Parts: sequence; C-alpha cells; structure tokens
Amino acid sequence: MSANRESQGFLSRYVFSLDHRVIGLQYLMTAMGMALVGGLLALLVRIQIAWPSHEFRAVSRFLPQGFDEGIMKPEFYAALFTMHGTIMIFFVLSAALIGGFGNYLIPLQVGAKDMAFPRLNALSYWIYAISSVVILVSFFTPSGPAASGWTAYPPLSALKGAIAGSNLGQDLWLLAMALFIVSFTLGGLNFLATILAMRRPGLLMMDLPLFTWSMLFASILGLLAFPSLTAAAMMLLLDRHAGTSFFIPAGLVLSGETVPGGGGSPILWQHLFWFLGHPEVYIIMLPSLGITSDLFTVFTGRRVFGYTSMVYAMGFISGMSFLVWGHHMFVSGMSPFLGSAFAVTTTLIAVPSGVKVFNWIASLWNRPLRLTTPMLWALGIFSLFVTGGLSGIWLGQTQIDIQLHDTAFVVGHFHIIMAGAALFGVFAGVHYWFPLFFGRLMNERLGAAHFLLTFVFYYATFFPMHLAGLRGQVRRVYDPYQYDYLKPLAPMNAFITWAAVALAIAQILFFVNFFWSMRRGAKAGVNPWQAPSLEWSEPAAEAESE
Amino acid sequence: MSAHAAARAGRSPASESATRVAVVAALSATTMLFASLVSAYLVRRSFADWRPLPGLWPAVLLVFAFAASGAIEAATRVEGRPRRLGLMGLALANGLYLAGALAVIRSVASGAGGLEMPFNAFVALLLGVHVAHSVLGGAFALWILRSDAEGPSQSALVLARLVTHFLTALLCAIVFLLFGLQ
Amino acid sequence: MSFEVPKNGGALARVFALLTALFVAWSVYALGTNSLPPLAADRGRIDSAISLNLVVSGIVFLGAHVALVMALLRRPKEARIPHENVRVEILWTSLTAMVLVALLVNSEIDSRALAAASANAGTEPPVLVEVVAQQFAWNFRLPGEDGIFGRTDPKLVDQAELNFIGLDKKDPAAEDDIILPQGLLVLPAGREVRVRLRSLDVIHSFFVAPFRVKRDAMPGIATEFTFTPTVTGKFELACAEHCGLGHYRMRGMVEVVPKADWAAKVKEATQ
Repeated sequence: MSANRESQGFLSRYVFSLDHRVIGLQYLMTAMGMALVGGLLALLVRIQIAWPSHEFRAVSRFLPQGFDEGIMKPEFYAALFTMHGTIMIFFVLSAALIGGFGNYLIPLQVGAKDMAFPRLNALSYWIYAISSVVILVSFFTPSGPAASGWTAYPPLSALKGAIAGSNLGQDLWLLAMALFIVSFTLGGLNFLATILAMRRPGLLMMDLPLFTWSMLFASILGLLAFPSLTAAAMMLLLDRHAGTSFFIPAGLVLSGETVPGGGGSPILWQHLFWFLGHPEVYIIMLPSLGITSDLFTVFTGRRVFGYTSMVYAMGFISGMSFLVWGHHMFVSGMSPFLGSAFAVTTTLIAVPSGVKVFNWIASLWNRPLRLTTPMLWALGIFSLFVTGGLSGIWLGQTQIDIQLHDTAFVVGHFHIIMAGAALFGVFAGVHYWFPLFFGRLMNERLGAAHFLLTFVFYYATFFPMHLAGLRGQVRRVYDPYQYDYLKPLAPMNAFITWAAVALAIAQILFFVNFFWSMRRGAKAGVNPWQAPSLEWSEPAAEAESE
Repeated sequence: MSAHAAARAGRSPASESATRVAVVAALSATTMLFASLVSAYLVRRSFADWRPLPGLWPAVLLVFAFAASGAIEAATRVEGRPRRLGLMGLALANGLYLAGALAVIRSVASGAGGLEMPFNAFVALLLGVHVAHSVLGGAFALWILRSDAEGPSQSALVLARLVTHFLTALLCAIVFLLFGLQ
Repeated sequence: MSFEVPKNGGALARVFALLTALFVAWSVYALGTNSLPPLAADRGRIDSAISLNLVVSGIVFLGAHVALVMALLRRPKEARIPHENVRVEILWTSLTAMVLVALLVNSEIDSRALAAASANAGTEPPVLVEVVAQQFAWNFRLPGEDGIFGRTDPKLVDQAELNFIGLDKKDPAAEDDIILPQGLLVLPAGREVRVRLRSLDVIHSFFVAPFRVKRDAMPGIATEFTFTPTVTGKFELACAEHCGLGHYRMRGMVEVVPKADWAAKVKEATQ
C-alpha cells in the first residue's frame, strides 16, 4: 500500500487525486479560505452600518475603487453584501458541508471503496475551485463585483447602468455561479449513485447514519432545484447581452433615458430564483440536522430517539421545500390567493421541524451524556434551530411579513437558522471527524472555549437584529441614519458590530486548534469516540511522524 | 455474460447500477431545466404583446432527432458491423442536428425583430439548450457503447437508448410548444 | 487509546441556564422598550399578530431551552430512557400542527381584513394617490377634481422640466392632476387612502413603518393597496428593496393632517 502511494507523484497524490478523502479535504480547505474572505466582507458591512462615516484607511488602499478618500462608496457597500451572501452560501457552506464532508464520509459510511465515479469527483472539485477564482477575480474589475444582492433581482442586475456592479462584475458572478452549479450537479450525481448503488451488501438504507440520509436528500434537492437558477441565469445573460427582454419590462426610464426593448417580467426572475433559493437553504441546513442526530447517538451511546421519524421528517422537509418559495415574495404584489397557498405550505413545513426538536430532547433525556466538543456544537445547533425556526414562523404569516420583509429581522432570522446551524455543523463535523482526517484529536479545552465564545457572540450579533427589524430598520442600507426614526438604533447597531468583531476574533481559536492539532494533537486510536457508524471501522489516517 | 467475465471487463453489477442511477439523476436535472424554461415560456405567452412568428419549417429538425433515435436502435439491437454503422449514424444525425439548430437560431436572431421578439428569444434559448444537451447526450451514448473486449453490457445498451430517446422526446415537446400551440 | 472525555453536564448546564436567563430578561426588556414604532394607521391587526407570536415563540423558546438544561442536568437512568414511541410522537406532532394551523388561520383572517376597504373609511370617497418610485426619489400625484389620473408616457419624462413621471400635459385628464413635490405626500387622517404604486426603473418598495404598510414597486406593473392613516403627524417613508447606490437615501415624508385641513395643505405644498 505505501509502496503504491510513494510511486504516485505529488501532483496525483495531493493535487489531482481521485481519492474521495483527498478531494473532501480539498473542498474543506478551499471553503475555509473562502470563509475568511466572506467573513471579512461581513465585518466591512457591519462597520459601515454602525459608523457610516468611518474611514477605511487600510482596506481603501487595497481596493481603491471602492472608496472615496477612505469613505466607502455606497455602490461598493452594495457589492460587499452581495458578495458576502454569494460566497458564504455557495462557496463556503455548500462546499464545506456537501463537497467537504459529503465526499469524505459518504463512501466510508456506506462501506464503499470510493465514490461511484472518482474522476468525475475530481473534476467536480476543480470546477468548484475555478468558480471560486472567478468570483474572487470579479473584485478586481474596473466597475467592481456584482452589487445587486445575492438574489440578483432584475432590472437592477440586468441593466448595466442601474448600478456599477452590474457591468462585468455581474457577468463574472453569472459565470462563477454557472460553474458552481455544474460542479454541484456532477457531485450530486456521484453522491446519489454511491449511496443508492454502491452500499456494502447487506447495509440497508435504514441502517445508515442520518448524516448520510441528509446527503441523499441534499443531493436530490440540488439536482432538481439548481436547474431553475441555471435557466434564470441563461435568460439574464441573454437580457444583458443579446437584446432579449425576459425580465425587462417595457417603458423603463433609467436616469432620464428610456430603456429600449421590454415586455418581460422581473417577477419571473424571482419565481425562478426562489424555486432554487428555498431548497438551497435546506440543502445547507440538512447536513447539520443529520450531524446533530448522529452526534447525539454517539455521545449518549443510544440511537437517536425516533430514527425513522427523523428520516421521514427530513424527507418531508425536502419535498415541501419545493412548495414554499413564494414566501419570499409576499409583498411583491402577487395574487393574494397565491400568497395564501404559500402561507399554508410554509406552515406545513414547520411541523416536521418541530418533530425534530422534540425527538432531540427525547434523545437526551435520562441518557448518559459525554460533553465533548462535537457534542457541544450539536447542542448549539439545537438552540439555533429552535430560535431560527421560531422567527421563521413569524415571517411565514403574510400579515406579519408585511411589516418585517426586507428588514433586519429577516437578516437575523436567516443568519441564525441557516448560517448559524450550518456553520456550527461545520465546526461539529471538523472536530468530530478530525481523527479520521488527520489521525489526531483536536484540543478539547480550546474547542470548548471556542464553542462558548462563538455561541455567545453569535447570539449577541444576530439576535438584536430582530429588534432592529421590528423597529423598522430596512436591510441593505449603507447608512440607516438618513432616517430620523432609525437614529435611536445607532447604539444597537454599534453593539451588534462589536459582537461581530468579537465573534470574528474568537474564530482564531478554531484556526489555531485546527492547524496545531494537525501536527501536534493527541494521536487518536481507530475509533476514539466509540461511534457505531462505518466510517470509524477504517484505520484512521496514519499520523505523520515528526 | 458471466459475472466472472464482467468482472474481468472491469464492470460489476454495482457500478452498472451506479451508472444507471447517475443517468436517471442527470435526466431528472435536465427535465427540471427544461421545465423551468418552458414555464417561463408559457407565462410569457400569456402577455398581451406576444406575437408568434409564422412558419413551421424549424420543425424539420425533428427529422434529425428521429434519425438519431433510429440510429441508436440500430446500434443497440444488433451485433457486429451494423452496430458500428449505427453509431456512425448517431454521430452524423447529431452533427446534422447541431448544424440545423444553429442555422435556425441564427435565422431567428437576425430575422424580423431579432431576439427582441420574445418568441424568437425562446426559440433561440430552448433550441440552444437542447443542442448543448444533445452534444452531451450523444457523446455519452457513444462513450458508453465503446467497444470492450466483451462488447457493451445490456445495461449500457439500455442507457444509450434511454438518453437518445429522451433527447428526441424532449425536442418533440419543444417543437410542439413553440410551433404547435399557435 | 482513550483520553479524558468531559462527562458531566452540570457545570455546562448551569452556565447555559444563567446565559439563557440573562438573555430572556434582556429580550423582555428590549422588546418592551424597543419594539414596533407607534401605530398610525388602521392596521393594528399586524401588531396583535406580532404580540401573539411573541407569546407563542417565547413559550416554545423557553420550553425548549429549559428542557435542554434539564436534560443536561438529569442523572442518567437506563430504565427510564425513552425509545421509539409512536404514540408520543403523534401527540407532539399534532400539538405542533394545531398551534401552527391556529397561527395560519389567524394570518388568513388578518390578511383578508387588511386587504378589504378600510372600516374607518366612513362615507367619504377614498383618497386616490399614485406613487411612482425611481432611482432615488418618490413621486406622488393626486388625480384632482376629475378623480382620473392623466396619461403618462416614459418618452415624456424630462428631468430638466421636472416632469419626472412623464405626464402627458396634452391629456385633458392630466390638467387637474396635482403633482406633489418629490418626496412629500400629504394625506388626511381618517380617510381611506388607495395607492397605485409604480416604478420607473428598478424594483423599489414603499414602506412606512408606523402605517404597517409595505409593497414592492414593480417596474412594468401597477399594484394597488389600501390603508387609512389614523394619527396626524410626519412619518418617514423608506425604500425597502435594494435599488442601487442611493437605496439608503431614498427617503420620503408622509404628512398626515386633519381631514378638514387637507385640501389647504395640499395647495400650500404645491405652491
């Protein structure tokens, strides 16, 4: 075995490897790098909201076209929140949870030698890597990166004169997304084929860890939902460059000049986008839900309560996720009947979520608990899932949504439920599977400290946003204090920003722990957590000798 | 063919099953893509300014699609020389379809109103996306039917037919929606 | 190869319980002093719905976290560990569904009521207003005596002539149209207002927090909605849909005056 590995060159072993474990780690490391970018963008956004006249001396030297003598330009602010959302949702969370953990764990958890199509797998990673480069390159175009929001609503995203980022930046955004979707589609094919067709003989679906189930559902969601965005992106590209008017209505006047063409519908984009957009947030959520259930199993030593219901709950949530997209469009002027229909489906999708919460409590009740770092993260996911799920119920009611749509309330909601649960899932998974990746354990003390600080600062950052939203603070505003009624929110916004800074600093603990433990962590045995699932029956990666 | 022979040929029931799953999944994704495009088309048709252009001549593209389906049937139902001819026929049909579809697209793009006319835009878009998938599908069919020592497996034959007929049926649907609903 | 795994939940649970208690206390304070801007229109149903949800969410949030803390603090009892129990699962699933359906039904009732003509309208005809959003300003016009909005045409938009909405001055119906100064809308208290909302360029959103009113201004269509202002005063109008670099400063002012003074106020504003 080792003779074989030595005969492979460095490139084929570490760079263009077909081994699902190497590919999984490639996804994870790339996602971690993108997370640093996405996190920095968030900090810039937060600093600007809290102190609108702040002078960004260092950053303005690095990206001069975004600033005017150190003061951030409003169109650059728009680019920042656009890129933060796009990078975090796709290039960080989807990549880490599905590309990273999915690739590493699925073959191991189903008892297969590798993914069904290893070459396709490597190709998927490299296409994702290229798409990451494309999205980063868009920062350095003359008119700046895309600035129409991660949601890219036309006509703002379709008309080049509507905002600076709607020039080359928007095209690069579309290209990066197209490449990302290709990567994700190829990956989804691989995952489905492996889980459904390459399981070890005798291993039933109902024996699988809930993480594997979550990968199955996430893959199905991705395959069926991403094409909608692909269709929309193609139409947007044609509108931008070929004179078509899929999304551009007639009779527009931009900066006093009439816009040629027309007859299209901006609402069409919203329908197509959210048809992907909503399943996408479940694609990101499901892995954390699976991980939480599995960690409860391992660290209580008893199978999670109601395993079968958990599978059905995930399945129901996945299916329903295709039927709720209109709740992002309640105030768009769509027909009240349609609004009611989506309110009904949105309410229904909350039911299985409730089931999961109850089952989780039952999974902890009277059981011996081992509070390792991964378990702490799983408990954190439980808390965020409850809080974020509850605020979602508010927004799913059409009359309440009138007041809260497009306010900071929504920002708080999705950061807690989606970003939070997903992020905590990444931390849980990294800590838990670290012995598998590197043959060592991460430091428990540092891990617990990182968890506690992150948990506290996460709530401190995102919970007050609900209050700001109730007060009427709209989102995506470069300077909220242009409005007198929002001036009293300045201290709260400053508090949120300080909490965000503290949250960012706390992540240093994670990076230190990660890289230090890779080399010097306590050596792990074959199954250090005494876990029942198949991935632990393989010998952990040989710890590098010093 | 014996399992032993299959194993020597590098195939296993599991990997064949995996390919089947992957193909069905890919066709599902393609279906959703066209469902999205067609939904957009159907909604747009209902707007007051919709003006379909006369002429059914682009429907001639169906000839190439049926030719491809015929070729794949020939290639997968018989052994030996007719199979090779079938595969060449498939490549030819796809190539002609590609050329024909591009001609149609160029024609609507430069015709009256060009792509500003929503009907033309949808013709270009739907055909263009279908062409791209035909190229992928055709390449896949040729690849999966490549000669092994033992010849392609039963599963490979089924999949090659599935992909080709799917693309033909898709084109039928597209042509009907574009030119048959007027 | 084993290592020391922290086993006991006690210390963690106590820390968590303390944090939760502080958090809840602070939330109650913050929500009490910091929640919705004072209501200034006939849409109090939204406020009631929010209060209802606050109570329900509060109970669930507290309940779930108390249960979590208790679970962490409990000594393990092998004999009493719950395993699969379909009856119990049906029970709590039904409970969840019932609460959610109740909220949904309430939401449907509220939505229908809010969309219908205002009860406060009385016998006076509604005030018709056309709002036209653009990058980055709000345009308002009233139809005047004839109650008909004059024709507009995008080709007639002339910013130099201050014809922001492209009013066709040759249209007889346009002669008595009252174009208010950009960004200023004057409304009478106690009369139903019917808004026709349009956009000239990209998607904007008409949002006045004290009125509990929000609607997207979608280019290419005119949407309509209705409300009745009930309190006099000045209320800021915000754009609630990212519309470009000036989104943050797309501010308007809605001035609500007593019914009797409205006509005079409009005249004064358009001088």
